[in-house]
Amino acid sequence: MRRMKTDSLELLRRIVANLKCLFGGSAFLLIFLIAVCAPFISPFDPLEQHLLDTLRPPGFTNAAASTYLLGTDNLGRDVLSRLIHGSRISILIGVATVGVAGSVGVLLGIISGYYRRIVDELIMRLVDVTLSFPTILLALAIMAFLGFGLVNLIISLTVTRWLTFCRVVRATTLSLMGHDFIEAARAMGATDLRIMLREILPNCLAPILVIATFEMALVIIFEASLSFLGIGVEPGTPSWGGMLNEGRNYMMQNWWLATFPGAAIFVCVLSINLLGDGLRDTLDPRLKR
Amino acid sequence: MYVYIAKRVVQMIPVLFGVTFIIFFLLHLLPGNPAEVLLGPDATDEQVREMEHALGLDQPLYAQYGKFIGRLLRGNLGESIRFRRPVTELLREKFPVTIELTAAAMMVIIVISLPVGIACAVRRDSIFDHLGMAASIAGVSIANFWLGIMAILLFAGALGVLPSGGRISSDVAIYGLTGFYFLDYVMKGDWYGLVDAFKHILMPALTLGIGFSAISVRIVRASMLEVLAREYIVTARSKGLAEKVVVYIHALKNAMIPIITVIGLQLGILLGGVIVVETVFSWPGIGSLLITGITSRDYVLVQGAVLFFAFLRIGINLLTDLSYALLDPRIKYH
Repeated sequence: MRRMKTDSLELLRRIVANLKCLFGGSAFLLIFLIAVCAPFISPFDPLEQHLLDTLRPPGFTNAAASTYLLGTDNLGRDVLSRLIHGSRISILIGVATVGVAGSVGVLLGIISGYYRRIVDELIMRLVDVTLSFPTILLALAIMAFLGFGLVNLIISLTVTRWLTFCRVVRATTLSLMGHDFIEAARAMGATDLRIMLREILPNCLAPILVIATFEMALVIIFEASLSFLGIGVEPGTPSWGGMLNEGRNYMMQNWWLATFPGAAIFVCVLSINLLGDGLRDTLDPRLKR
Repeated sequence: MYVYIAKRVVQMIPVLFGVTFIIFFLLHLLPGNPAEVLLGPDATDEQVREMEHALGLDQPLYAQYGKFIGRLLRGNLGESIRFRRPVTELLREKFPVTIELTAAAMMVIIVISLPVGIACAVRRDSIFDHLGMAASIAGVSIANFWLGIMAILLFAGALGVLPSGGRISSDVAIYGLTGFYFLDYVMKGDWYGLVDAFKHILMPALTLGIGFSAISVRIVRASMLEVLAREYIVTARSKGLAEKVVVYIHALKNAMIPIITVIGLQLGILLGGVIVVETVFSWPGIGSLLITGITSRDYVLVQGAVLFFAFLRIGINLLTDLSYALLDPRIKYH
């Protein structure tokens, strides 16, 4: 127990010492806190329309002309407040999708690698078929039939993002199957479920954690893409991709409508990718190259 | 070799069926009745039943799937509800438009990722390497549609040097020989048209290519690093060969096999990105057609376009697989 605690502390020390982890993790933590505290820190209600103040330029470019720090949109809604609330949508969809897709993928990956033969064949063929669709395309098709909405968005992205988890966990499971500790657990009478959960799963955690961060970054971009195409969250909901979609017709004369939501997506995804890169270097130095 | 190709093609068949199965059941099992969607909220029950009958939705699922496969095998993807034209005809019309953009983006990927990836590997841990990797991680983090919007704001808006969208200017002649504008203008010797087509494709191709280059740079770098650490490279260097010869003749040649494979697979993934980029630049390809189908609830068109993209991707992956086997003589055709 004490050994495990020391190992965990050592791992945590290595993660914090990694600059990419430190910068990426700190930036993501900040965005996460902004998302959590959104109702308390946003200067205006993100849905409130100030019809006398439509398309106001950002306050920092001309403080006398605008009281809105990042300007307003065509309906007079405060861009900064919508950006702050938009972080909630991105992070919620990112965490929920990775949580569900990760659970499905890990479960199927372990089952596939553990039982092999026909079970493995079936699951891998399902992976092949799903891989035949470009992610955004399959998500679009599902959204087209399900309709707008947060839950539908999470479902459509989950259907397309469980594959990476499944393939990596299957490969790790297959590589673990010949090891003595698995045989020892079996000889001691452990059930299949126990071996999968107590012996194999803990050994898959490092790659799962790394994949989860990269997948979250991808999911945030896919969500923004779908919302940008007008097939994501409900119209009017403050989401970064949706803001870009709503601002498209006005962006040539009002640069802030396109610049800030895209920059927010970039900063958020970059922070997660940096964290993922750092975690990969720390948890699996063989992949550092 | 022929046996290997035949085996790979046969292996593809269940995947193709799986794809049709998913698309078909996606449409039929998800909540919502296509007939109700088509008729709108004011439709009476009788009208809905008539529409269901007209679309064949009142038949058992297996019968509908059988009919769907039968039509598919005859190359019939149904008639678009929005355009009142066969979906196959619409896809055939838009195919060169999307492929032209995808090919241009592919060239961007190759032009950026090969030299940058090689330079990063050769100068490992130098400032150039660190900058290259930082640019790569930034490139992966940019949503390509935002990059496109920013490019429009800068090059079409502020500088006014490139058109903001479309495939060709309205005052330029269109020949319609092959459907590929570049090829058409070269065949006709119309250089004005060629330059105009180039100006139109530049921003969408760069937008699509830059994000994927960011991934490819890493793959090229990793592949080169692996080869540069091999013993025969050490031998080549110890023989006193010039560094350029070692890198470009000995290392690159061997590193190219995985690079080509990965770039080939990227082509399949590019097809997903093309849908979004076509929308940003009003590029009239299959991606834009698909979005029109979705917004107008034309489920026949959506089904056809999704199937088309999936089949194309499976085909590209197969060709990549075969080229990998062809390029690497060590691979035996099991």
